[in-house]
Amino acid sequence: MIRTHILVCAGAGCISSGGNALKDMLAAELKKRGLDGEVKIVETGCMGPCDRGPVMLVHPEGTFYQRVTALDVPRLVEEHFIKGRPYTKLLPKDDITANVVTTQRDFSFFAKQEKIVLENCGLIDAENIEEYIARDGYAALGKVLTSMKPELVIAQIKASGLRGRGGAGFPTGVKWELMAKAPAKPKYVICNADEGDPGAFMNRAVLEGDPHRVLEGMAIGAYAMGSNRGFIYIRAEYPLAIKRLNVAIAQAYQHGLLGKNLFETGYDFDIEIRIGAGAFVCGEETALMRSIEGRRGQPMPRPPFPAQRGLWGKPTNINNVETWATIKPIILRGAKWYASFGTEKTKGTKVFALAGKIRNTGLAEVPYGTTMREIIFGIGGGIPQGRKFKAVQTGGPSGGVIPEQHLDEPLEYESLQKLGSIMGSGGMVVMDEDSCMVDVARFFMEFCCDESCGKCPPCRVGTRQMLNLLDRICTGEAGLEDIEKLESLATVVRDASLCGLGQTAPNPVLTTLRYFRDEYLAHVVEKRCPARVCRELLEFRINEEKCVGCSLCARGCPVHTIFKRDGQKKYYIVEDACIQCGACLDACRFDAVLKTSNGVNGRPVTPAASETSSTRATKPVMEK
Amino acid sequence: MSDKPKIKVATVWLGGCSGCHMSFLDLDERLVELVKLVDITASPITDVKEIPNVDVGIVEGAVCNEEQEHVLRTLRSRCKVLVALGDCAITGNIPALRNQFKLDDVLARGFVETESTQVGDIPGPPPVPRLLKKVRPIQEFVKVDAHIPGCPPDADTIWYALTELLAGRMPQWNEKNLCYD
Amino acid sequence: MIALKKIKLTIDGRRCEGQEGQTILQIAQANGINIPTLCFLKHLSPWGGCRMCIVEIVGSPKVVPACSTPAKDGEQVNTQSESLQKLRRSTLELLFSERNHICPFCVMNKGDCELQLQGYRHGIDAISIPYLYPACPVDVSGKYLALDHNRCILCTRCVRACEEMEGTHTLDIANRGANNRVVVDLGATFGTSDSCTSCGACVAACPTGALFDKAAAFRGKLNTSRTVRTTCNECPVGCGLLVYTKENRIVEVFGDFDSPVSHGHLCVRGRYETWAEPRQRILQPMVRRHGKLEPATWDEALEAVRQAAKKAKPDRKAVLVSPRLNNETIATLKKFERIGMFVAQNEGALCANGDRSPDSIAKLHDADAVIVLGAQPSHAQGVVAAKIRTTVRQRGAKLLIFHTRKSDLDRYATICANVVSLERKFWGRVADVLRDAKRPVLVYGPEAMTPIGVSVLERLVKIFEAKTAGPAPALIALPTSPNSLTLAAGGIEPVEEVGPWLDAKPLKFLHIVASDEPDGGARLLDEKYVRALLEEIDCVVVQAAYQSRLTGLAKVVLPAAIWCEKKGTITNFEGRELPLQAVLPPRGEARQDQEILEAVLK
Repeated sequence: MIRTHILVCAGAGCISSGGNALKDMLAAELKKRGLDGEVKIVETGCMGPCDRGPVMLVHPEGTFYQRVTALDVPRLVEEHFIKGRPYTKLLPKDDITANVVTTQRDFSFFAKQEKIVLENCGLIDAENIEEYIARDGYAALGKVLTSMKPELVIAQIKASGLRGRGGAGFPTGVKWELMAKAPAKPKYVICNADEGDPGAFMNRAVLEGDPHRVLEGMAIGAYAMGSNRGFIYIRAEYPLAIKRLNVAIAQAYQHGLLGKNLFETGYDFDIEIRIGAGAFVCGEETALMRSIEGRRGQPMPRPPFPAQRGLWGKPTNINNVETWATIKPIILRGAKWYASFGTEKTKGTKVFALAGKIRNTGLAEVPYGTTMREIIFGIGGGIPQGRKFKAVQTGGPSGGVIPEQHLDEPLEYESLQKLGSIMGSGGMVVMDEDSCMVDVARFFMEFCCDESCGKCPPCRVGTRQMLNLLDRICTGEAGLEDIEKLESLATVVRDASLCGLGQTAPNPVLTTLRYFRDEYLAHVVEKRCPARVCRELLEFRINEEKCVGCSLCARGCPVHTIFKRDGQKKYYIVEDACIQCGACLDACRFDAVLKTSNGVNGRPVTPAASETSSTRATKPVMEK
Repeated sequence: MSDKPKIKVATVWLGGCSGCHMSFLDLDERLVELVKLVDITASPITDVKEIPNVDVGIVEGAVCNEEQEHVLRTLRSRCKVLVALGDCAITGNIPALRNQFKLDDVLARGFVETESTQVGDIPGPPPVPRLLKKVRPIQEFVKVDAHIPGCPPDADTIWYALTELLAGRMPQWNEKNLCYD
Repeated sequence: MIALKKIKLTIDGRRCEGQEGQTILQIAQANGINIPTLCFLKHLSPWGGCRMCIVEIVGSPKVVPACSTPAKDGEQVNTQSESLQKLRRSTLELLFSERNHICPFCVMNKGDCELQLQGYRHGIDAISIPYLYPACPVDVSGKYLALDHNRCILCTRCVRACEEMEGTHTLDIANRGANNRVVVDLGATFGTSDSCTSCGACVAACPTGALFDKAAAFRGKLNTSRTVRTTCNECPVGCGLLVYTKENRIVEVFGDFDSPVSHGHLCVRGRYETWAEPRQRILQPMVRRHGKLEPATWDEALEAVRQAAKKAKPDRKAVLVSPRLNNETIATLKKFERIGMFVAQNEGALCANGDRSPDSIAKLHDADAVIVLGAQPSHAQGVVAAKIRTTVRQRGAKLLIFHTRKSDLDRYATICANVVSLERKFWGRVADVLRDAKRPVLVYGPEAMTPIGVSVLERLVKIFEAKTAGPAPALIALPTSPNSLTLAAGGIEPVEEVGPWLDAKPLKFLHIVASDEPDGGARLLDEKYVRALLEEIDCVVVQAAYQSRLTGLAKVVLPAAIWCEKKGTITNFEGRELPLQAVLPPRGEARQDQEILEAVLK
């Protein structure tokens, strides 16, 4: 008789930190101790706090263990399952209360979340359809097919206020209605599982942890819109999710929940997986469709919209993974129930991916209207190592940065737009005082420039020109007119680009200019990087008072520019040849290496060694 | 004799073929009118090398080496209005074709691998100025106030631009008077 | 025909009418409102990528491209606001900065380049961003056309032209973003391409000097050249040609978009081979004296011909003509006693039995099943092959190939039987493929007249008769030679084997009219015994435009006019009468074929 379940997280995050070895060790140890008849191991999807992985949850106690390694297993089994008390070494500490957490319920990371989309993630075995069914799986589909007309389904989705979770936030019910009205046949539904935003892994968790809810949502939507064929377009970089989807689809077919004559109602629905090939732009719906058609993934202008002319010229409805995953609970528990969460304009919950300089990296699902401060400091646990919060970037590489003074704004589409950012798919990258905002803007511009499909000149050339300007600002070669050029180009790229990639690519630049203009000015006027990140603007010096002459720095210097003072046990750096790599700073154990950025006041302005004359505009060469 | 002081002009040619200056001379009789209003000081035409303080500086050619950069910056610092004359000064044009190749390869092809050379040697400073890695238009070094496109701009176009500037206006470019070659 | 709803909208304050389904650009252009474009071409699908035609719609936050946005009834559109002009100018500056657009030495300089024109129209005297100066290659390996990547603006007009007009999809864009590059066949060059047919549609579509015709480079500016429309005379399709000339020389040849047959498309023969190939032209009459051919006057040459003809009895004289002669020569030819026309193998039977199907090209366009039997359109009628390719690839038609030599069409075929099987299982499959065909077309060439071809035809007829639904296929005869069907119908005997024809009755006088055959008629000598037979004839007169081995055998050589000098009409394989318009006066002493024949008869 099974008396205890150990839920081991088998999401990609925990697996990559050793989850498989842990699970094997656990199974072996339980068998060794003769407990395998009483204790069952269940591999589940992502539980959320990925930074603390590998994680596991023991039921019925609700004990939550973090950072469990295979080596911990013998003691863990001994303590928890033989002696019957929690193994304190592996218990997490709550960020808010600073107490040790004994059960999941007491962990503020979980307590403040409202899991609707993630309700099964971390609870069920994603590769076992019966566990999904046991949690009301496919009951919504059954209800829809046997007792609801398509119009009623759409009406319910409309009443719920559900907005597309892919980033645009278009009302899903209205989108479905447009598609249902389109006369041409056949019609297609697509699940956009490309999730290209760096730092976003919300969709991945759902696909790995609860794939059936996506299939069920697609079937319900397809029925409502008059389609019999669905595609899931998933990025190739998610092999685990692809595997779990394939298993889920096969099991659904076996159980008659996909395929012909579902629930004996005569309705057919087939789903096919299509795998991406590494292009961020294929997350854009028209480019995605062209990719499925076997063509180059380039966006097409809209109108015509996919609901009128989409895949192979036929009406097509594309929704994000999270949107499809929300359909089942809305049908089962009602539109009014769903609309009770969130704000007036934006109903329901959203899964956010917390990344960057934050204690609890991972997934958090909260109702719209939660403030950013609550997520970052309440659930996220704030900034580690006592650093100060500087900014949070929302919505992926096309999102903007939001500074501290706006952290009490509620998370919803309109309020983020007013701040110059976007909701996007839900990525949140937190930055602290050690992040250079100009470098951040440069980093995301490089991403957009790299991922641009190249169809339209504003994005193709405009992002490249903006990147060149940002590079020059970061290396100290730019002048004030370059900031003007950057702003001017940003508006052209934003207003003239064909698709969302180009239209939003300038957002990091525009918001960092809006909220952190002083950092740009420091780079350009003083040639100084306040966060001490931009290499060409750094000086490395040795504080000879602290230097003990161990020579570790000199030995590690790749360009051999650290020398010993004659007759003393002190070292000094000859700056001309220094490449600002920071190896000496890493090597020194006596805190004697200083990394500063003092700008033009701190060091002579010399031309870069590699160019005869690379300096332009403001830096005269033949200065005597 | 007019009391009005003449507008002082200086011209230089950098990395160009001198065609724009030849086109300027194509003004023919209009030159006589011009010099009534304008005093051409330093110029390849007058063969005066030292650039004084002037009102208008006219630059032909792109910036290809250090000496040209120096001359350009000197002129910019000594004139009120700087005019880019011709495509080389505005876009880089033909001299900028060498940007497609590595500088070392260009120099080797020009001084070592030439067909009749037996023992080649790449000259350097002094006296030959060092080549810049990339040939660039003049506006990437200094602020330019007006442009006269063309390769070369014909005499009528140059006359239009100069008379507008002398009247205190910026030349207005449109479909009727623009020509990129 | 469903009548499309009329819509009304306001563009720049003007009331404009149009039809539902039309784009904003279509309605604007119809009302004389000029919106700048770069990637748009009327006959190609809209792309919406260059961002030049962006317009503002009142009430909408984002700009939209006019070329691809369907117009909505009642909307208000602005095409020239200050912000739009600024965006367009900035987009152009970005384009100019991206690659090496150097006007002074470009083939399209001075009025033929659309990028240059947009630069002028937007008053761009200089750009405000740095030039990127990328190192871009130049591909001059193609026989007739070249691609200079430095001038390319990635508008994809060439890609779309190749895909939508020729159907080979030789060109596409490789890589991503700033690394985008037009690529031939996944990374080949034009010279090494497997799929490129040198139809030149890409060059015709290119707005800049990126893609250009090698033979036309610097021969003259198109915008100041004279243009003449005429018909191509190289094959029985009869595509429309738009010929540009300057000072009595040909500058360039493009397809005529007004042609009801080809709608602007051409194949390599009419597009390039007639004018871009170096050929030895015969410019004056020649008479053989003392064993050597020497230049002579027309009077001298004609006199020599008449004298020789007088010496031979009527049944010892014959005239053998090329099947590309125009319709007007038929009357003159009938005046000769013994007259024959040299045609390709099996073509004679096709002339006797072939049907002309009106609007054949349009039927191919609309077909949902295309059967090719015993014809080689890829080699001999390029535009028909292009139509088949595009119908199969873009509109999903099924292609069945029977008894036809291997060609590039094979790879698109559902049934490809270069060698035909007579097995029941095979023909069962054919019946399956044709079961749902609602608009079938059967294109048949000379090899359909062979025993195997006939047996295939019989089996196909049986399949169509057995079908419960769907019509019989439209039958389209596709001869090899340009005007053989018309000449044969006019009573000129097609001769497939010249040797037996010559040998039937030994001749003393033979007048060969090779006209402007590219090989000068020399292929006659490839047939066994013909050379020996010709050498036995007392007088062989060769009337041709180009020198060849054949002229070497002649006693008298009469210079004929070539395609761009010819006048008259031909009738194409659809039965359409098409005009041959003289573009240039005949060079040297050359004369029209008919004129020469009339003079000989006198």
